Amino acid sequence: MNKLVIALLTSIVVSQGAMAADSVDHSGQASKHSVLASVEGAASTVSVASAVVAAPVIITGMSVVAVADSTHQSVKALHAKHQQNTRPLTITTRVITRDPPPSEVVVEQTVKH
Amino acid sequence: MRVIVAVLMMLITAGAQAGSQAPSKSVFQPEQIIDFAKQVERYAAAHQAHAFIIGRVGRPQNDLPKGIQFTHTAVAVYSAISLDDGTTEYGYAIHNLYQRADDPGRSDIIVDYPVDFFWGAQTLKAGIVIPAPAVQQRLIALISEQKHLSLHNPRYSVVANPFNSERQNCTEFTLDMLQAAMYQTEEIQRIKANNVAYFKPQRVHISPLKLAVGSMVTDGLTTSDHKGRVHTATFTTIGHYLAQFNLSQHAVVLYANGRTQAI
Repeated sequence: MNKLVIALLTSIVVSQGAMAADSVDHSGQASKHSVLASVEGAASTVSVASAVVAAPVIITGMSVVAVADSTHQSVKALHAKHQQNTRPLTITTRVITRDPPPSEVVVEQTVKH
Repeated sequence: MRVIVAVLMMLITAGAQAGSQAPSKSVFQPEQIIDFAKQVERYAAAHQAHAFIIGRVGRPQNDLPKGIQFTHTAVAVYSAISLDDGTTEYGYAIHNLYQRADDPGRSDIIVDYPVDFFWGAQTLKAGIVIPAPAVQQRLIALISEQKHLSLHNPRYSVVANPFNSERQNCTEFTLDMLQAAMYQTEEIQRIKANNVAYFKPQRVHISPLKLAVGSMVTDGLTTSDHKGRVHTATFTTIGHYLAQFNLSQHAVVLYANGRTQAI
């Protein structure tokens, strides 16, 4: 009986991984930003930057007409027209990430002093 | 017997805590993640995708339940990205529902970017579903006006029922955004009614006993919002939903070696 209980509960423990949520924010991991900074330092082709805000590029029909304004953003409105756009959209070569968490930024500042 | 139960309860608790958290370290070299993230962006850009559904694999492939290919789903939107150095670059911003690491029964809406998104991936493969242009336009309008935020239900469950508003996971939030965009409504009741009428969720192939035990040890897993068998929204079922109504322009799984597989 004890062996049966152990076997059943062990299988339940193992199955937890299967239903464990992956929808956890990875961006706050303290190690990621320091790792990316070291990659940037080692490879001249890698440029890392933190995003402040992203404004969706609005499309109307087949033409790109404007960058959306958002209430908290500081992006200038840009106007670009592409007639019958069949060319790939422009993608930056820079590595863009979210800002690190406040705890990481404060720690870095403390270390510098 | 009491000792056995106590030890097993400790094992269950430890397993659940470890399972509820994303891996703290990436299993890939950062250069691999950067390359793959850019590959995904360029692939979508080559198809002129201004908005698309994106999926990642955050668990070892062998751990995934039957019928589930991706463990996290979100909406990627082509954006002008203002950076901390004052410049503006173009790329994809990803709009996610993320479970809180320190409060697994709660979630937030977080914008991140492809390197962030794939940082904890267990397999370098991406699910890409590019909706029809009209759907993309409506999604972009919804997100640019920040109306998608009103669709967020912070009560999280990894197996949330997409047919009601009791709990929500990342994929249900993505589905609700799509519905809100397509029907041009923010009325939750109408969105759920259309989910019931037209959307086919994935049955979760895990025994009720295991789900019940899991719900006892983590706030991020509950079956209280289900009647009978547990069904939930997945990346693949969203892809099928759009395809069923001829609203999918292009749908593939993209691998790090460049290979694609139609969904």
